[in-house]
Amino acid sequence: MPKTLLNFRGLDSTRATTQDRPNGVSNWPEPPRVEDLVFEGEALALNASGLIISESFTCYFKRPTVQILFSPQGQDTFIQSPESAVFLNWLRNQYIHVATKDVPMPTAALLRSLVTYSYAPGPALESEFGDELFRRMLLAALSDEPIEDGITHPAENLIQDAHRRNASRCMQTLTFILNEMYRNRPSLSASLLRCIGRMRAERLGPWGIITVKQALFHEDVEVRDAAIRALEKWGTGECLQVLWQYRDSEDWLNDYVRQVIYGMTIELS
Amino acid sequence: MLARKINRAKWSPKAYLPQDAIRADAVTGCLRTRDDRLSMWQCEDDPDDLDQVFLALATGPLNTGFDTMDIVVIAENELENAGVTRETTLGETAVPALRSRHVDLVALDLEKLAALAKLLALCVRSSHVKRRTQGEIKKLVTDAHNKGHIQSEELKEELRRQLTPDA
Repeated sequence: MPKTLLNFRGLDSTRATTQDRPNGVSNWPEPPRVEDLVFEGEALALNASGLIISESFTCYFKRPTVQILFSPQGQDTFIQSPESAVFLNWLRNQYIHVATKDVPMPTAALLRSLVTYSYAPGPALESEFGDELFRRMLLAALSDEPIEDGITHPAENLIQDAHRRNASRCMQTLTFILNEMYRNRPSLSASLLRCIGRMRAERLGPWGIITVKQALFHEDVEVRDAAIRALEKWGTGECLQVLWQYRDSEDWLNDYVRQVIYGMTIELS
Repeated sequence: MLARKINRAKWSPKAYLPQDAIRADAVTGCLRTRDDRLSMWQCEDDPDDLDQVFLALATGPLNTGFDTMDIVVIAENELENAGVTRETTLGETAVPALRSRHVDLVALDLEKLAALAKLLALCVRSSHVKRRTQGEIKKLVTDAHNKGHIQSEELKEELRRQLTPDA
């Protein structure tokens, strides 16, 4: 059997292989079968409250590159949270796209078994949780000044810097902040979304679209407007597809979507 | 008519406020005064002329890129009826021909600002708001640039680069 390597960036040990049984862990499971592990990419972990906390996760096996979600302790929150639903959906699409026919379709159960198998958080990971300083600075910047059309906002520079330092960690923190603010501070989360929308789509990868798709279903019109603005800014074929399928409860936003679709269709053709 | 840039979404009703209430965020976000003044642009109630306001706003000295923009249009006599006085000042735009279109509403106090907010809210609800997408704004600015209407050196470098990508 080929060596199963699970790489946890952000942990002190950096790497944990299936052969490295952590101290004090007696029920460290056997390595999963190679045909069950076909993931290469990043994973985001949800804690018991459904918040994303973990660093990157890499399984070196076959070709497909997918992002997966996993739960530290395999709680049910993993499959119940809206983030994981969006992610799983995306994973399936991605997986179908890249997998060969003889590779079994991943299921929530399989992913959960991976989690139980692989998750070994240490103090280093806990201390890195959420990057509190970045979070505070970002919120202060967003609270200080409104976003002005066409004018760079100080929060954008903070995000760009954090992204340059560690892209996946930056995106995790942004997800964390957005989730935190969606309920009570929708205007602030709309401002943050607008800053995110001003980043280049290719730098954000699938995370950008996933984040914006989630925002499109927010009850606050400012958040939805910010999400559409982001899709317009990124201007990719995938963004256009999302907009084609989108209907808003506000007429003026639907008019905006139509305007954007018209412009993007011309641009992309 | 007078036009003012706003964020349309901030003028939508909220469930926790009465249906016709004006959100505080709309006032503090879209009607931010400096020295008790508020910037506006003169225009005709005509789409082509409104585009000139978008052009002026998109070529300000701080602009670094293109964004979707909303402007609300209000009749000048309604402002006069509300006791709001105005003063013509040169607008901060890289389009010289548009600078003289700029006016400041002056000597604003809470009462006048509230009156203005109510007028704007009525305009928003009666669809006197025009939105131009990022793509449309970019085209407006690019066309004006290609026709030589813009003093490029007055634009921020980031914006200038987007107009002359090969430079």
